[in-house]
Amino acid sequence: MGIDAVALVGLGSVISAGIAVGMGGLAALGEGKAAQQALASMASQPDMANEVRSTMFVAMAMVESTAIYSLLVAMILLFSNPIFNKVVELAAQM
Amino acid sequence: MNINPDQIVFWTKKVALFGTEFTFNLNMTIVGTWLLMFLIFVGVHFATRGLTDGLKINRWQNLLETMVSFLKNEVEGTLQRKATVIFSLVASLFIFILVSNLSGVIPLPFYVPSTGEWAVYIPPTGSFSTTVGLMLLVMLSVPLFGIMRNGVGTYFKRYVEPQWIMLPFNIIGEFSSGASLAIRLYGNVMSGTVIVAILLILAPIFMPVVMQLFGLLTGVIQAYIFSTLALVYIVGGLGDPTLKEKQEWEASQEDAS
Repeated sequence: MGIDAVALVGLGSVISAGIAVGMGGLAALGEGKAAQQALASMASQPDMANEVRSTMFVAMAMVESTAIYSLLVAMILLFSNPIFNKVVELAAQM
Repeated sequence: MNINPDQIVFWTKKVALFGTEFTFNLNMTIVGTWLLMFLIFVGVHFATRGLTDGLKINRWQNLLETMVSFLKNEVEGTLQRKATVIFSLVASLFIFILVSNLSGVIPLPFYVPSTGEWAVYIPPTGSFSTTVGLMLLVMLSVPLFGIMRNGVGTYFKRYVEPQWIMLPFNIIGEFSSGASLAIRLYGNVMSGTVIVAILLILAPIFMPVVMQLFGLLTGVIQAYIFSTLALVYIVGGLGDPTLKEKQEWEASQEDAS
C-alpha cells in the first residue's frame, strides 16, 4: 500500500460525493411538482392560499430530506471520511 | 472543515465509575445547549414579569402569547382533544429547536483552552448528538403515552395490524421514522453552517448573507416540522379520541370563541 491507494480512495470519495449530490438533486423534481400543484390550487382558490402555502412548506421540507441525506453523505465523504483516514493511517505505517 | 461540534472540546475530565473509566468532554454541543437554556429561561423569566390582561400589553407578553396560542391550536387540532402534558413536550421541543436554529446566524467566538485556538459557535441542533437525543425523547414518549392511555396489550396490537406478517415491517418503520427525524434536523442545520463557511472562502461579501437569510427560513420550518412529526407519532400511539374527549374539546373551543 502506497500513495496509489491513498489517491484511489481520494478519487473514489470525490467522485461518489459528486454522484451523491447529483442524485440528491432529483428531489428537486418532486419539489417542483409540489410547488406546481400548490400554485395551481392557490390560483383556483385564493381564499385557501395561506393554508396551502404553509402545508406546501411542510411537504417540501419533507421531500427535501432525501436531498439532505445525500448532501450529508457527500459532506462526510469530503470532510470526515472514515475510510480515507484509515487508509492514510495504514499508508503512514508502511 | 469541522462538521461535528462534539470535536470542539473545552475541558475534559476522566471519571471512574463502577470500575470503568469514562471520559467526560465539555464540548461545543453541551456549552451551546447550556447557553440556550440560560437564554430561554432568563428571557421567559423577564418576559413574564408584570403580565396584564388589559388592552395594552407588554411586547414580550405579546410574543409569548402569540407563540403559545399558535402551538396550542396546532396541538389541539391534531390531537382532537384537550391539550395535556403532550402540549408541554411538543411546545418545549419547538421553542428549543427554534431558538437553536435561529441562533446559528450569530457569529459567536469561543476560546478553546485545550488547543489555544478560537472556535465559532455552532448551534446545538447542528450536532448529531443533540438531534439523536431529541429523537429518543420523542420515540420513547410514543409508547409511554400510548401505554398510559390504552394499556400494554392495546398499544402493542398496532404492530400486528393489519396482519401479523406486517410485524417486521412495522418495527423497521418505527426505526426508520426515528432515524429520519434525527437526520433531517441535523442535516439541515449542519449543511446551513457548512455552506456559509464554504461561501465565505468563495464569495465572501454578499452570498453568505443570502444563505443565512435562507437558513432563517429553513430553521423555522425545520422546528415546525420536527414538533409536528413528533406530535403525529405520539397521536399514532395514542389512537383516536373517545367521543367524550372530543365533545369536551369541542365545548372548550366554543367557549373560547
